Amino acid sequence: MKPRMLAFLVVAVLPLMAFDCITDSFTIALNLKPFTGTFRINQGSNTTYGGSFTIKPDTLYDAGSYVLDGASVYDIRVGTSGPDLGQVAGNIYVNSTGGSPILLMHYAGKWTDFSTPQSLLNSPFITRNSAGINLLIQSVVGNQSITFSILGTETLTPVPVGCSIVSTAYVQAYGHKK
Amino acid sequence: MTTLRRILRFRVISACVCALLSLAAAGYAQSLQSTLQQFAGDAVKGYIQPAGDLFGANMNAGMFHDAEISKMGFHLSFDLIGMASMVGDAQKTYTANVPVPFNPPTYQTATIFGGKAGIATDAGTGFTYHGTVDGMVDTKVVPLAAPQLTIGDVYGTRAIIRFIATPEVSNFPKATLWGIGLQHSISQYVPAIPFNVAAHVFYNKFTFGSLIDFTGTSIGVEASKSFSILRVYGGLAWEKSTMKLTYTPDNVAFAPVDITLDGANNFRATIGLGLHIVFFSIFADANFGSITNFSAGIGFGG
Repeated sequence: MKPRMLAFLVVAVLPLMAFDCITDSFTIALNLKPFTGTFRINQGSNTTYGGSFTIKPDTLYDAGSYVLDGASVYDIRVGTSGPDLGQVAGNIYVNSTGGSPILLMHYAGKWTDFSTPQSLLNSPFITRNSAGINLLIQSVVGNQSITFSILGTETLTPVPVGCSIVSTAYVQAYGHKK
Repeated sequence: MTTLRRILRFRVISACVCALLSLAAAGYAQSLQSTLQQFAGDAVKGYIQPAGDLFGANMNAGMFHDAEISKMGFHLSFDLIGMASMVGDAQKTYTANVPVPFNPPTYQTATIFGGKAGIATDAGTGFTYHGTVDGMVDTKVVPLAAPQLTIGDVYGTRAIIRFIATPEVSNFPKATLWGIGLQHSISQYVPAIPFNVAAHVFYNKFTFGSLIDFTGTSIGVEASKSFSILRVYGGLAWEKSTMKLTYTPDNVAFAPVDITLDGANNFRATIGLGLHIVFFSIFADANFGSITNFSAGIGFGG
């Protein structure tokens, strides 16, 4: 058999082999940079505290490269920073642009219980609100600015300098490359 | 046409075929790089390990199909070798870690050859965590092809050389395959053996741009016996293959990745059959180890 015929057969057969087998538009899961905020507790005799921070989801991943199809929250953590303030409790809310705040989670326990950040996945000191979780997810997929706000109490006064509550939400978005 | 001219003409045609294969493969390397850049270094190992295993097995295949080597003489042959490693179910999923404190702490998700990425569900909250990427390649076989030149015979020794290179074209990275080895006749020392026996050592390397670097090393013994135009051959070999991955993840929170994975196949048993008609040959063999691998080829010369 001539070498040319053999080479032709090889080239003709090869496309039938495994080369045309790359999956079209496979899904990619992106771990967004955490939604993290520090709520400072003012020094003094107040036993209540509050605050807020706003994040636009497209600052947490390479939004120019991906089209998002969905998202999921895979953890939320709350921690305390600074000297012991006794009992601490509070609500964290989320709202998107133009919307009303919706409860995301409630936390309550000793200040020292939260010295190591408590995870919603396994902490007895945190309870979540599904409606708030859903709003967070919708806001990520729709790339709407999300405002996290907090209202809380502590029992030990006077509050020294350097006390704060840190909350972090971990979100995974999934979609495909543009 | 002289034998040498036939060999050279066949070599040009075969080089073109292999260049086409390399270009196609280089194109897939671009998609592969884009996919791999979603992973941190620890997470990518499970996803890409099967590719290293199967490609490594391909690299160490097809280097011999004859153990008959004269003590002194002229041997020049040019082969076009195709290799293929089978993708089994074990190569389609791997066990990945979920973020602490998810319960359970691991889940099954897709490798590069798998289907949809797995989803871990936390037992306490129902929160979910998705595998980084779906499988990228839907195939039962991982192929490779290479041109191969065998030159000898000097003191019962032949040199085996593989080389093909494609330049950088547009966004397709440069791809290079080269290999070199020696095959040495054992039969010359033990002429009473009723079949031909030889030993080989072989090293080859395959690179796609700066993303992936494969190396393969094989050391073994082989035997062959001819019955008219039919040749039966087989061998045993120790082998090692490595896959080095280097890239910068898209997520700036992940460190640059520079990892080396070892291929799963460390030993193979080969059994093959060939037809040799004057200066033309055709051959095929099956290789059994951790990875089941096949090679086949056509050759010209002798």
